[in-house]
Amino acid sequence: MTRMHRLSRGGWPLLLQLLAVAAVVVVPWWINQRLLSETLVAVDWVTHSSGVTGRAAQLSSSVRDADRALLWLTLNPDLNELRQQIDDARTRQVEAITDLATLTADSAAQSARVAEIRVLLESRHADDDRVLEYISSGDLHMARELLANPASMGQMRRLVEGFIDAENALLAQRQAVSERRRGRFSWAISGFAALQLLFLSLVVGLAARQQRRRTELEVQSRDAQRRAELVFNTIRKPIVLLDGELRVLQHNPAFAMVYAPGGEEVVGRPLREIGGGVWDEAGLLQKLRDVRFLGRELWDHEMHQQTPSGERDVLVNASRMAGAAGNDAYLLLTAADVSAVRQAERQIRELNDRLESQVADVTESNRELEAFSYSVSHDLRAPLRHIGAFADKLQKSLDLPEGDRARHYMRVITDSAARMGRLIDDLLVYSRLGRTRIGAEPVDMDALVAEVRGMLAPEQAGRRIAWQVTPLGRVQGDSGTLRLVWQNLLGNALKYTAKEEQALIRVSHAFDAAAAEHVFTVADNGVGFDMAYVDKLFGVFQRLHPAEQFEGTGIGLANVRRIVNRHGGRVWAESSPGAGATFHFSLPERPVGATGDNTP
Amino acid sequence: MSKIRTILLAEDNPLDAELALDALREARLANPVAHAVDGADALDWLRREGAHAGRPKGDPAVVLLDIKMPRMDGLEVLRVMREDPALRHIPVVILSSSREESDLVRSWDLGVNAYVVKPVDVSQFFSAVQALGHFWAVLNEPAVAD
Repeated sequence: MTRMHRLSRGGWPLLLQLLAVAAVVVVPWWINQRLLSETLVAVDWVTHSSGVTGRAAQLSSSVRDADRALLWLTLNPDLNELRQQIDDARTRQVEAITDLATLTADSAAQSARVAEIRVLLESRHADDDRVLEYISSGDLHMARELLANPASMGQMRRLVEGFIDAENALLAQRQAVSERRRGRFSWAISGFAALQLLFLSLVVGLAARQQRRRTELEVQSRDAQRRAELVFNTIRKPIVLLDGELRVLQHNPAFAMVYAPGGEEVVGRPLREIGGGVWDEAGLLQKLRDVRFLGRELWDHEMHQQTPSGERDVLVNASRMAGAAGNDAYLLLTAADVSAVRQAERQIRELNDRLESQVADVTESNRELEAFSYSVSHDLRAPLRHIGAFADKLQKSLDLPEGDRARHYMRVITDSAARMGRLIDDLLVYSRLGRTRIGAEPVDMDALVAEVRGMLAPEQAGRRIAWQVTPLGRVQGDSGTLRLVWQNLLGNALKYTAKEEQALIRVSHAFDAAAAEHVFTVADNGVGFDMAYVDKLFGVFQRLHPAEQFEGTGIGLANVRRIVNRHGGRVWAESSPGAGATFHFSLPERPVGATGDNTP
Repeated sequence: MSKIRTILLAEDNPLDAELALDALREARLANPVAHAVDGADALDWLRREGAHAGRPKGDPAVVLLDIKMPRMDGLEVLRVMREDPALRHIPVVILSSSREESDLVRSWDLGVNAYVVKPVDVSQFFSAVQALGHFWAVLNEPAVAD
């Protein structure tokens, strides 16, 4: 795979490639050339040898022609034609022996034989010349005598035959050598042919694999491109590709839908002309040029556009994209429609403003209420104070005897005034609880209960009271008002068990994980109350027992409910007359902050 | 014997003034009591200005201030006194009609010496002044002989 990879990238060095080509092309060609030249040499040798043997045969036949003509001349000495034949044969012999000398120059043995034949031929010519002289002088007898000597004839035939045999042997030897060489070259060429075949199949195989790989990559690339196009075309955010002159090169359907809903051609036009000129904003165009030339990204440039498809708030983002050739840069610009977000923000702002003005109203009315209750606490109490104080002074100055009716009336006046003072105080506390801020700090409930029990010590003096207090843990809340809750609940428990010989007060805590709230419980074994009136229990100035029996203004539990509600909790109770009462209140694990409270 | 210093009572309500003066009388203090009818009058007395321009020199032993008064209320008088280097050292007791927490808190913030809720109970008043540390030095002058 890795080699494949290297090949596909043309990894083999050029030198190696050249060597391979040389190996499979040049070497066989060279061998072939050698084979051809070897064959040509062999053919030359055959031609040469046939030439040599042919000339040798011509020599023999011209010698025989000369001999025959000479013999005939001894029989017919007047036939001059024969003399001419003898001369011609002799000329042919000389030509043949000269040719043979030239042709056999390459072989020392044959040259020697030719020289021997030449010597013999010359001696024969000398003999023949003497025969011709005898014939010319008419001494035919001597001529025939000379001709009868056959030794030279036989010797010449043997020499020529030996020469031809030697030449043939030489040819056979040369042909054998050539044949052996050609055999070797033939093997080599077959071997290289096989190598070529192997190499070619390797090349073809590699080319096929490369082709397959390329096709695969092309398919992948086409798929990726198709997916990218699909994304580009499907995405609902307008996207546009700009060239260096900020002209549109390409855009997605969303862009056309928003900025060219009429279907007009957009490609090729400058951006600032598109969509009725909504992009023609000097600041934006400058920023886009900065993106183009300085490579700065444009982040969330907000615009309010009056597009052909409606009014829009858009966030424009743009970044530079290097062109495919790397020599030019494009700009990719997206326009996210944030109209809905801006609309929501505007609504939130409006609501906020309205809420703020309402809060201001509430604050104003709270301030008025504050001023009112302040005035009540100061001015309403003054006449009461005077009634009480001056009744007291009157009594002292009258110096009435003990048991006098008037003394009792005076007592009623001062007590009533004092009681009304307490009612006013309690009512003011209750009113203030609805308005003051409820803190949210960690409150140690164990410490708080211990502290309140200490505060209630006077109410416990001389009584038998069994306290059962489980660990109460910590909560998030307002310690000041929570103290008031415990003061009221524990105070009530003490108050309504006052007539029990052995009072039992149980204080406990449970955590309700499902509701994520703490639940605190105060249970006593006091007089209890009728559940029929449980609804009245937490109302202002609501009492379930006559004031003569149990002291109180009837506002304590209303305060408890108000405080617990403002912490985001609830308060509830259960009881039956004579069977004690159980009060519960819950506080959320996480306080909800100061909540409004509409209880009067 | 040093001169017995005055107690200044600033109270607009005549009935409350009567009750306070009665209480002080019952305590048999030797100190003379001056009565200012509102905050502005009290400041005039302290600075020997206006109607009180001719009064003899000398700071009061203590100033008893009602809170709600016309023209200038008690807390405003207290603020002005604490900002005035000449009056800063004079002990001030607020006499309030209410247990209104905001009044208490503001009084302490302004540097009050004691805070007493009306009607003025003499024992309550004395314990407040005692807590002040001035009881013997300032108020417990020889009692008026019976």
